[in-house]
Amino acid sequence: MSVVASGPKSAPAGGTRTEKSAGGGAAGVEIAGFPQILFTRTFGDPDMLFVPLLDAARESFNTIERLCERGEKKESAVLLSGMQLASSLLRDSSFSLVARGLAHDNGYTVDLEQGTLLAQTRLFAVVSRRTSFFRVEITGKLNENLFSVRNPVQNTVIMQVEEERLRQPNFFSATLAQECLRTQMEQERLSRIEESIGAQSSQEIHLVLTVAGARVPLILRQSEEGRSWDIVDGRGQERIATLAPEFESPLGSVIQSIKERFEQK
Amino acid sequence: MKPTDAQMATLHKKERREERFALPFEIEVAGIDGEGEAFHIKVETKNVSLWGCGFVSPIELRKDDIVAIHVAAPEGPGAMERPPIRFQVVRAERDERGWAIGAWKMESDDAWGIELGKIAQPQGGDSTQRKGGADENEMDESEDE
Repeated sequence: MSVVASGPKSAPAGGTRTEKSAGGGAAGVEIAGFPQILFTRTFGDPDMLFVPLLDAARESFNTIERLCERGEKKESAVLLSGMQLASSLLRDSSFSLVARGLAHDNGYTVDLEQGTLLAQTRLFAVVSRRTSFFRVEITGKLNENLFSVRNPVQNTVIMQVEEERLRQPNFFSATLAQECLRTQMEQERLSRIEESIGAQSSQEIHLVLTVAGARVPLILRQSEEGRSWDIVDGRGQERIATLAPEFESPLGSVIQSIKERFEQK
Repeated sequence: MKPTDAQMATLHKKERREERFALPFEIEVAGIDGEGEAFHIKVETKNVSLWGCGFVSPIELRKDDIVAIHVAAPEGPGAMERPPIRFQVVRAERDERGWAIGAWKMESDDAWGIELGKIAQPQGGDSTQRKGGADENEMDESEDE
């Protein structure tokens, strides 16, 4: 079993590796129960290491079952499989053993007993002129093909990703980073809406309109007297106009219709 | 300054040299071979040190393989079963009886269960006796005869 040689972006033996992995980042790979960390200075970026490590960890995980079927005790099979995984990583010259307790740019934890892989990394993305650099955790079971992407700060699941997508070239740095930032922005927008709903007792209708190619959040907010409707720019909560009086009645009908639907439900 | 256990466990091979003792401990070496099959072999050490050991393996082991070494418990009442300890193969050379292996302990747990200096005279070697300019294979003499 060779971990790095099986990856989609891995280089053949020789000098090519250095060029390909020059920007690959450092990482620590922890195998649960193993006394030391396997460290790579150049191969740790998830675009380079996640898939090969997943494949190698899965092979070791399957080895446990095979060894147990042949009479090995589970505890011993886990120990031997972890050693095999570590050996396969060490066979690549970019990996070495380091003491536990050091912080790394990218962290991977393989738990062969639980059958899980956890990757901790930072993603960088630019969406709609917003630039973000944030930490995520990608976690999943070795015998399944669905992985959760989590925000470790808020302890929330950002999204779930199928393994097929994780195997796409540059998925982490390009696709996942963008999707995470978009999801985060959407969650923030919804959070603002909830906050404004909580602060207002009058009726509101939230819209997202495409104006000159840009998606603009808008709010129709009923005045305190309950007659006119203000048009509010959702980005800055700024009142920009009042709804024309001839639209108040049709809007009231729409709201009444929705209320009745809810009451029936 | 004496290195800590954590430092010793991860010392680069060129820095390793410590007193070694020609003690034949009966050990069981376990691992997974190139075919993906588990092996458990019983051999005797040729020499040991606090952090390393040398033995001849009847099956092929390669440099950087990691093996679990379990020292056979002495017989008699009160004998304690010792847990397996992971060692990294730092030297593997073919010889007429198999593969001469030098292995380095990866964890701080005591592998031998006895103070080596109390039962044998050291054969030599400590960090100050390290020869300069030797390659990695040469250094591993400390885990061999």
